[in-house]
Amino acid sequence: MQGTGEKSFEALALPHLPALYRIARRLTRDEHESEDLVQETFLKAYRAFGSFEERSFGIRPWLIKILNNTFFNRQARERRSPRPTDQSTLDETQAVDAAMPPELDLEDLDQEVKAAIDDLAPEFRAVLLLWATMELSYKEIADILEVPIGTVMSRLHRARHQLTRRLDGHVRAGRLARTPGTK
Amino acid sequence: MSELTPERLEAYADGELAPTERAEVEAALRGDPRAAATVAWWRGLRAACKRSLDAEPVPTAFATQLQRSLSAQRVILRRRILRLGVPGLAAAALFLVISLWPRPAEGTPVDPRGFAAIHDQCAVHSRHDTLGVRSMPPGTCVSKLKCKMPFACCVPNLATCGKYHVDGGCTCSPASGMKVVHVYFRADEAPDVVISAFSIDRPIKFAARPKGESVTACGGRQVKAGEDELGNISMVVWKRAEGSYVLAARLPEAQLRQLADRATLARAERLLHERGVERDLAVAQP
Repeated sequence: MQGTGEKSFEALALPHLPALYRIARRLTRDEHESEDLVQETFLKAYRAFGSFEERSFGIRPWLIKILNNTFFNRQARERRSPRPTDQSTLDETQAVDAAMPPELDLEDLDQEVKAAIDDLAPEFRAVLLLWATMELSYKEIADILEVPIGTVMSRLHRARHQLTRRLDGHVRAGRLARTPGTK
Repeated sequence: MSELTPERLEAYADGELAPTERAEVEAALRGDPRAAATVAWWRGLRAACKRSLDAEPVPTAFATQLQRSLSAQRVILRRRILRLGVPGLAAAALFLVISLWPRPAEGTPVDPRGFAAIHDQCAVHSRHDTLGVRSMPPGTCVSKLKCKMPFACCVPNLATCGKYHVDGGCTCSPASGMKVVHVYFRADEAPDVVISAFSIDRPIKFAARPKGESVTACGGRQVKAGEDELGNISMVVWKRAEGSYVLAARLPEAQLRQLADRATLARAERLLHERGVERDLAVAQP
């Protein structure tokens, strides 16, 4: 989108603020940090707008890529503790696979779903957020995160199974209502 | 019967399977209620995630603060530009004027209706593929055509502009003696959207032929001057060092111009012609 002015950037990018905020909110799991992340994303995008080439899919994938890169760069800089290892996550996944599909009604579970998403490792959370909120394809997610499609599929597989296990765990703990006709 | 692995069910639930594989899975699901329930669960989970996350509003104060930050950034960048100095700006402005001053179009005059007729006949209705390039990656297309064609043809790679695939090609030409390679693309998710890309062996410009003359279309079919073959087909033409490109499609003109501007040449030719490509886009109006 060479040669477009400042107004064009705001007109193109600001409509995507809600979507970016939602992703940032779940990535950072903190309201203030998410605002900071989104602000840094928009400022970086604004400065780089001269080199941006809009294609048929618009500016949103580009903004999401900047947001994800900024988030993970921050994480690396701040040297946070690593999430649980892949092996433990894999064990959880295997346990869920045997029980598919769970007998669970997903209506009215917004808070539980958010909490389950927050429990995911950042790499899995990023993939799941793009898959769920943006409804992107595997290829689009791979392009944004700059990972192979196989990695996207693997992370998504683990993320959704871990999510399922978390939600099913709530049912077993008796904290949620069961669907009619279940045990 | 198709094997219903967990990975396959997930890909099916996400709409990621090719049509053939999707049909196989659907047939297998009809006899496997548990697998069908698993698919329903994955779809429900995705919807539940979206629903719960979409409910998160952007704090109003933050949205206002962001606008202010962008405005402040704009001021900062403007100050940096001013520091370049007036002489620098004047030189830059002069260069810009010289670059953008319209130049008279050069090239052989060609009636655009000939391209439109080829687009309709070969790409839309008959799906001719005399070049044997259907489903070929554009880069492979160019390699194959370079060996066969008597001129340095090149195929604009529309796959870089969105989800398009090569659907066929032919060598029908709108003017006698003019060598043309016609490769047409179809949108992956909208099969009715067909875009023809022509590579021509010489610089051309659009010009309607006088009445009484005719233009040649596919299979020797003649289109008489005065007949409205353009219909709602938009076209753009642009020149390169040794030839021209034309894009034709039933798309809004602005969209076609954007595609023409973004379509990259297949790698082999891009390095050769990058400096020779003139971006004076001429548009044939329907």
